[in-house]
Amino acid sequence: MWCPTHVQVTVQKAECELFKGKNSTNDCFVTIALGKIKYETSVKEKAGRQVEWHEECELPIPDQGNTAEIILTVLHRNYLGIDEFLGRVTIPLHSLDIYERPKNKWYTLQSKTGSEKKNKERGKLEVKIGFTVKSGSLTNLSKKEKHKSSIGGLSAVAQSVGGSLMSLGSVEKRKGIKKFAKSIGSKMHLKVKKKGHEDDDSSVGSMGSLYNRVNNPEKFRSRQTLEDADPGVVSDEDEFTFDDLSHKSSASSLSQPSTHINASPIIKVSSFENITPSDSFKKIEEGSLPPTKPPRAELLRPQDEWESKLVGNKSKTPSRPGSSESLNRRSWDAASKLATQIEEDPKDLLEPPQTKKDKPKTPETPKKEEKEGMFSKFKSKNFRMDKEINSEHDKINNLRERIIIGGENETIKVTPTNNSKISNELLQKFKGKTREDLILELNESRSDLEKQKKKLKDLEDYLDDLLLRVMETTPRILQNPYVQCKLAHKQYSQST
Amino acid sequence: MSAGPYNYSYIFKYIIIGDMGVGKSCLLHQFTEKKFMADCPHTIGVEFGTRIIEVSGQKIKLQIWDTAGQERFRAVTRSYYRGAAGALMVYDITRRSTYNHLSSWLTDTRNLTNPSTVIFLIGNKCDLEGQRDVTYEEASKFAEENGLMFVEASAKTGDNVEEAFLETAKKIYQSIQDGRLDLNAAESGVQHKPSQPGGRPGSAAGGDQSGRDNCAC
Repeated sequence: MWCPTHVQVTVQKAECELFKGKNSTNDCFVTIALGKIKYETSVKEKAGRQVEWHEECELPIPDQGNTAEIILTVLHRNYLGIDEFLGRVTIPLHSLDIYERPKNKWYTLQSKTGSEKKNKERGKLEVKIGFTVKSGSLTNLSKKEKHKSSIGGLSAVAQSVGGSLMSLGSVEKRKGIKKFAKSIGSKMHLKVKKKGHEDDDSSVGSMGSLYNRVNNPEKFRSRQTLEDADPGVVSDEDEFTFDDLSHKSSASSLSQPSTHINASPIIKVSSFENITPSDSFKKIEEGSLPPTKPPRAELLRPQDEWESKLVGNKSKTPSRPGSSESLNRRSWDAASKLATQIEEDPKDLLEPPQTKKDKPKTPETPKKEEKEGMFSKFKSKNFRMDKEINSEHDKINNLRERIIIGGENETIKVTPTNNSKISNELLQKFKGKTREDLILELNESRSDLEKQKKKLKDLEDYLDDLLLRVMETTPRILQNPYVQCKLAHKQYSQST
Repeated sequence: MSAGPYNYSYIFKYIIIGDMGVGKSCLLHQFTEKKFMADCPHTIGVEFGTRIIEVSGQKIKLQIWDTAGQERFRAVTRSYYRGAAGALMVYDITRRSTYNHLSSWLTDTRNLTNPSTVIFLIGNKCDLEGQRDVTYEEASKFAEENGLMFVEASAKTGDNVEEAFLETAKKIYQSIQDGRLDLNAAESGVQHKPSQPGGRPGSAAGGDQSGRDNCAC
């Protein structure tokens, strides 16, 4: 079943019947709230009865509870005091069909809860609601991708994550910023947003979060760090990813750059997985980790191998096209943070969801060596996961599937189905075989074939030789309708 | 049966050559059985068919050898060509490649047969006019340049099949009459019958021969 993670709310327009401003106008805006997350549109000053926004935002669907509802509140901006209430719409999530195409719908503006008695004619609000999968549920991501070509899948992932793709257009970039701002946390978001409104009132088609870029250099910087970090993260894993790709999935269509693109958003996805937006910012800043947990101890074993690989990669990095050294250094830091974050996620998932919230913030340990160690652990873990996938690919339970974080595994899982040249049955046949196995098998088949060919040649030669003797001595038996003759002859002799 | 064992004066050995799938076996079948084999299997070994024709009042038994076209140089090749009085070189008018290979077939034939061997070029499948890949004119020119007789035939409809075999026989017979073809030469491909069956094992066993001829001819 498709399980959306976000709800996309587009505030189109409103028809207000109440006016709080001068001359029957409103400085009208709408707040959109779901759970703890709240957005607001730009303020349309001196708006008449009809107000238009066409502004869109995306709210993460709360993990718990099925009583969540989207609350849209239409307000009149009072610059001196409290904003005045014009009406509101509450839309319980369970009343919406996630499979329905998003379409515009008018909702009647209601009074505040508790004051229903007044039952004033407040007007109505046109809203479009759709569901999307953003970060978080990798299960769903992979399911979605299976139906697309590899490139399509890539763009789907990239788009759903937003921001990290170099080729993303301005629209996507904007989305990315929005998205990031969201994940950074509502507190900061709200603060910035307010600032934004003071600076600029036009804000066409954008939520307050857009102002982040302009008004909040700190946030902007960190956003960039994260984005730029992606190539860095990937570059360190390219080798790993590629080995696996070429060996196991024979997805020759995947070029290196696309691996880049594919891997990076997923890493980002995983890093935000199951973390409420308000948490995520803090977490990234701290780069913290709970000290010791079972999976981590398990991962310590293969560390050395990867560490050596890591060192090798590190020296390689500066030569990568299109990446400056400073960028790399920066991305390295961010990458480690991401890795740390990723490292943390599976444990979150392994635990019941409730405990996650209560988890104590642990002291910071972002030392350089430590980071490297974590990174290698991350990779080795992926390696381990990969093994698991291969061995029991078909019956990966939900838990496991969610543990599979990071680009490589995701890519591996997706690419085979994308390769239209190889049927599923064929894939099934060779499932679980390593590259080595396949090479040996192929070699064996080839030598078998050679033997067969030689045998056939020998037989042909022998037949030719026999034929030759027949032709030289008794060609008569080579006459074509021979059997019939023989029969006829027999019949003839029998009858006589 | 009217065709008795000694009811012919000569045996001519023919061979049919050409690329795989041009219709060699079908031509043979059409000539001997007057039927078209729609789903003719690939010929693997070597075999021959016979039919008695009449040229200038003389009964002539044609012994037409047919083999696989895909492999041209085999142990049997030399033996196959040896002693052929007539060679029917076949190509497929709908497949240019089969026409392009004619020169190498011709070289083989010239090398492995005697100079008096009559070579007849047959452009087969002329019923498939719509798919024609080789024009009559160019094939005709090729035949003329190489001193070959030429006709376009169809094993399917039977067009010109009879003619090709008969014309070849006439030419061979003509050669005999002209004295260009030495009947006593070991590999002339022609046997004079019934006066002396000679080393030909096919005609050596008289009793057997009668049974075979009863059905084959």
